[in-house]
Amino acid sequence: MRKKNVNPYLSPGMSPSQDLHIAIQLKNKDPEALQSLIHLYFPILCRFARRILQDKAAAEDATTDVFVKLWQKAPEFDDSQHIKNFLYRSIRNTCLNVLRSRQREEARHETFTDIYLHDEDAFAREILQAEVLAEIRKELQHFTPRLREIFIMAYFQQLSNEEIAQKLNLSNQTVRNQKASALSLLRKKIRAKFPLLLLSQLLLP
Amino acid sequence: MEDYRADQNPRIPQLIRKSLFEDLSATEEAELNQWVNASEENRALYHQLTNKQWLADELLSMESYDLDVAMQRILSSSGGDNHAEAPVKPLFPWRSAAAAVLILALSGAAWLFLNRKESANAVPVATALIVPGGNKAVLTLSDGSTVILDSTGNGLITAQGASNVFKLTDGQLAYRVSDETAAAPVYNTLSTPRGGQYQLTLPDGSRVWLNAASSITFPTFFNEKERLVKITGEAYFEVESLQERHVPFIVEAGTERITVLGTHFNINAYGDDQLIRTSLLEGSVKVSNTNGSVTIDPGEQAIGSTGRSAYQIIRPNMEEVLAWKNGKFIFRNASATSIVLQLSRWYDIDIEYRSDVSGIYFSGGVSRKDQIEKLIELLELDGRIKLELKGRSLIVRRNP
Repeated sequence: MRKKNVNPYLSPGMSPSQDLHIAIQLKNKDPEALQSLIHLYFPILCRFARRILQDKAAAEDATTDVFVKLWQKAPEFDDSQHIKNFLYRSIRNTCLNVLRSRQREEARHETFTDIYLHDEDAFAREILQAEVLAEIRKELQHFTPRLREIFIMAYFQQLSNEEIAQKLNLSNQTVRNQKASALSLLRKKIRAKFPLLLLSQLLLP
Repeated sequence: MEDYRADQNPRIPQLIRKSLFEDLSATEEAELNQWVNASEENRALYHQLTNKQWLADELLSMESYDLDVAMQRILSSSGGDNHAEAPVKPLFPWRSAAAAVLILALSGAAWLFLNRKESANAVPVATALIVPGGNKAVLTLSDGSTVILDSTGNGLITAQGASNVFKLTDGQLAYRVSDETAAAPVYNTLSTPRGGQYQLTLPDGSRVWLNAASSITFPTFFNEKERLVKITGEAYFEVESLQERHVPFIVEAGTERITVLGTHFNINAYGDDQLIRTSLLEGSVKVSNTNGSVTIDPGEQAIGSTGRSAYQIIRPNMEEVLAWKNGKFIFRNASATSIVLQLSRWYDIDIEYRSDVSGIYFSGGVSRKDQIEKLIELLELDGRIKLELKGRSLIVRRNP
């Protein structure tokens, strides 16, 4: 049966055609494209900006500005690499502007310097970190936020069902069910790497 | 835009992600190793980026943002040109006195449109629990477990048979075939309570709007022979025609069978008056039951009943038929009983008749977002009936 492309979210391990799909959706000002980009990149860029600005609210404002610009320039993007480059370049420039204006203010009182104003390599490192996290989020982006938390705690932190249940204020049974859903949602290839961790705990009474 | 690559090493993050989730091929491993060993700095970075505790802390800290709020802020800051926000446009352009006169003239019955803003704000405490319906539904999976769709976050909810199930924004659920080789489909049921409505995209791309107190049962993967779904209550379909392959789309509603290839149509099978009404907007549909069958054209409605031998074909007002889907109540010479039945489904209230109100008809319309008090006020206006809310019950009386 013919497959219909109804899923607006970026797929894990995007194929070139899906890659193009998000850019085409964005070109057409499809709000679903904006939404999936926000879901994937808003937290990534906030984290990025927060590390540079050391200020949560300022970081969120900077990220919002970047997405506003992205949406206004939507028709100009050709592929997802283009979109990604725009996002990192804009957040970097927005942060630098904030740092510079801060520096002007502070200059009257003290000498304020910031590593990011002089060190391009620092930015390169930040972008690499951000992209590794973005890649992992992409793999898990189809999960609901709760499912993602449980998966991260189970796999990356290796927490037990009890510990997760306690942290998230859920029942053990809920955690067990959610882990089963998480497992079923992973791509087949990936699933092969996880059953040990997930299934062995699932099968325990 | 200038050609600036913010991301200098696009391959490296992908390789690191892959090494965490699956196995790298020999060439990929070599590529990653080469980068790691290129400098002391890279090696340090690599150790950080593959440290699971660090990853977990960073990933969890990113879960604290309300992305729907972020989306709203971004759209509202972008101003003007977004047709993105279409759903929030005001529903009633005809809520003016002039429009009221027009409707009155049109119908001959008395239904005025009041524009008293204060009455909408001051909802009496005793009835404050009665609110207009919204996007609420329950999804029953093949193993009998259920997912309540108003409280779940957006995103991939689960995998069912060969399909992934996504909850999108604004009360929409979508099935997307992920594994076309899977053998047997499994069945899911989406049902709305009273006061609920929901939209569904089936695995073939066909779209379904489900009215309150309705349900649809469907396979998570359609076979090549037919696309069969079952409904109760009321649903509007926009069926995808599958080019080249003429796979019929069949809707079963009680004893009724509606067969189509690719069209837009509405089925009202609440059975309020023991009748099932199939209304066609585009294309062509064949309606059949145990007594026979009939094919209708766009603009026509087939009225079938199990007790009746032949179908009755009428040309209804399609705006009225589809009002529910478009967020409105529109009545043209509708009986008082049929109106309160619709109210009971949308506002989740019970109806108690204290006297016979047959033979009383109303015309007019309001938004489905309006409070029930407003509707009551309008229906009582010409003094023919008396409506009283008591808890979750609406008491209906004929005025002497």
